[in-house]
Amino acid sequence: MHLVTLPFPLLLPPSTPLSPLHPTFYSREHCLPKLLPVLISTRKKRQQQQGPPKSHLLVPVTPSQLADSCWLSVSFATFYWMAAEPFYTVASDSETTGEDKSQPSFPDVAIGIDIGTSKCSVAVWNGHHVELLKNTRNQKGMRSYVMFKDDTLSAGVTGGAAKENAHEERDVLSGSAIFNMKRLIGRMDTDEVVQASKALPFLVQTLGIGVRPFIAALVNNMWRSTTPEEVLAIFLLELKALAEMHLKHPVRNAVLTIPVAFSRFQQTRIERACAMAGLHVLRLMPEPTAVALLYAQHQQQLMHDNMGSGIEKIALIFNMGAGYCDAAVAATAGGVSQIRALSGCSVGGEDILQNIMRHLVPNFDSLYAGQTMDRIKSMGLLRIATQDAIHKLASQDSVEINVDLGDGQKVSKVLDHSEFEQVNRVIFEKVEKIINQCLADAKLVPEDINDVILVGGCSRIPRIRSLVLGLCKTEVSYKNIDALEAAVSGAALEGAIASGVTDPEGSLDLLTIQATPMNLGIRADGDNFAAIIPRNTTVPARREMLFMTTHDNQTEALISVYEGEGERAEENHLLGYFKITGIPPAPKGTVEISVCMDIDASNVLRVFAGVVKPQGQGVPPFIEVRMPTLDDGHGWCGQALAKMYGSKLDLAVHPKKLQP
Amino acid sequence: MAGSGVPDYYAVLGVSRGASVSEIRTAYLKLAMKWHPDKRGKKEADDGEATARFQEIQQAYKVLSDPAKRAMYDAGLYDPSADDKDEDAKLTNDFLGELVAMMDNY
Repeated sequence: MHLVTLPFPLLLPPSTPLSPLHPTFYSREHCLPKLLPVLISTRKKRQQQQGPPKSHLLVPVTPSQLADSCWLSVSFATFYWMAAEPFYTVASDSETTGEDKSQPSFPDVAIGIDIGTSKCSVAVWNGHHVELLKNTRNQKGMRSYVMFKDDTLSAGVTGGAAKENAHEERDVLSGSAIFNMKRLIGRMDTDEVVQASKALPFLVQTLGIGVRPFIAALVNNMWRSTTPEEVLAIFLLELKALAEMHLKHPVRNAVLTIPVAFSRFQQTRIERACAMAGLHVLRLMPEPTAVALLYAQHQQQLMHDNMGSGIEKIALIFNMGAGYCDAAVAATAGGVSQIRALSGCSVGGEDILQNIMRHLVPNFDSLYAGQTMDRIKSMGLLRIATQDAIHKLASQDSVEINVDLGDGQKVSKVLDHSEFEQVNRVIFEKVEKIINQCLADAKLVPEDINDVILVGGCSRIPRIRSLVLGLCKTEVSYKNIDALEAAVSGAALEGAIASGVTDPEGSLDLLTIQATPMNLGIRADGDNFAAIIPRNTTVPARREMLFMTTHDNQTEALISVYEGEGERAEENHLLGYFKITGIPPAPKGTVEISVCMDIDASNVLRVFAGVVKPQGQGVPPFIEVRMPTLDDGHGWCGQALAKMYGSKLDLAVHPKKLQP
Repeated sequence: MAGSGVPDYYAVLGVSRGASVSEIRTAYLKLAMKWHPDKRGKKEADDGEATARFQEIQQAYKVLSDPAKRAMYDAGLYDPSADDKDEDAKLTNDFLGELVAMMDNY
């Protein structure tokens, strides 16, 4: 074993055959991330031929940056590396390839990663228990950001913004760092969360037409463009390096926690970012379900033989961080955690912070319209002061805010709980809705709940605690769980279990039985949404539904797959679409079309569709489609389809019941 | 046994028709631990048999752990396809279930 620096070149010179700028590249694949695994493995071969690596890290850049064929290099934390091991593992992009064929010679236990809007953490099963890893600054929770500097990029894992913690937040807010990636990833520029992100110090530009927002960081007085996926990938790269430094072997698989409210499209963006960082996603786990697994382990340890007795405990888990808020009801018995219901929305500490900032500075939007250097600095000062005040209010009755924003603007105010609660009334209403929906979906009343578990940074806010506990008609929350470490610990447990690790002491005899957080279905009966797999269905799941043609001699039908809670298709997330062609001509309503949806244990969604009546040689083969198929701009795809085809290719729900 | 086309849920879980709620749950937990794809080793996603078996166990437990559904099932009136689909059928199922459960108590 010897000390080397991590080389991670993700960009090759334009003359390389596999370079994205080489003509053969565009004919095969437009998308840089999909090619990254190839680039990585190619580089590995090159390295073997060319000898020792250079002590520089090249980072992924956007196609616009590629056009300038610029080379970015990153100084990276040096760490111990086993000389005998290959430098890179081939990332398996789950969107393009199946099983990873490489044969690792190291124990292949998936690590657990909690990518928070504000903070991230990583944990591993070390053979005896779950261990949270610390960075060189002794932090378990690392600020989620990537700092863009002249020739370097560095993420919050190594603390790229500043050597001293005290200055970190100020540098993060300087416009040169991108943060809140989790709020931006996989969202269109019409999304209200993206709109709210315009109040951040870096550049978020929207056109309001349902495409990806343009984001950029300030480098030498110039906005340099990037994407949320890329920023997350750089962050994950540092997290992966941190884990590899601790484990002393390459890390390939990971279990990541995600908000309940994440659409399947957003999930693919997370997978994409992981693939860019050389990580294969074994599971994406809704945050409260990871906490539920940890709770199941606690309960099993408390009652060693409860498999025999079959005692069941019901827990309500409420999680609220900086970007999202979710709830889950889990029934736990004998180490099995069965998710009964999930609910969530994109409301979090960031919204509370923005509400208070707007309350303190009523002309916030006009004052900070257009990002000049002065305004970015001023807004940073306001943000830090507001953040500090919210933290203090968790343990004090009132807080005094005094901040000089420059240019004659000063804030001097005493903020108390009642004012804080009034300003954030809408947020508390949303929290209430989430809890009530979760209880109703689980078909439970508050009295059925044995334990209420509160996790996430916002669970420290007194009003949030009292609200959730009040709705569950209890006075105390479950104590044996760390509010900030529970999700990542659960992810590491799932990582060990899903990797097939067993523990002689039985502490991994656990199982999470997941449920779907949202309805999945297709557009039918005009613009209605026909749910085929209803929300909170146990995974793995397989459901089928019959449809019929709506026109005489209709030979084609459009299957538009949506996900969401709206009754109309348009209100939901479009995941993809395809046509069934070659339908035998017949009067309307006589042709029966079956649409079957299947979610496997890894949460992969497949849609099977085809003609089931009439039968015989004259009907086309079934079609199998892995969803989502959409890559970008799905905001207006649905409208474009409606405009192009009207009701010509429509289907209606068949009244006949299917025998299971 | 139950209505045509509906599998024998008691046989799926390996319990007797008179099994208690706790016996049903214990049987379910053991089978879930055995057949859930996460517990079937590396090639979990390809293990179609385990997945189908797990779904069958899941469906059996869903019905037998719910007193109203169990009563309906015992009376041969349970319709699995009506369960998640439309609210009206679900309500009818629930209502009939409660009715049958009440009659059982006499």
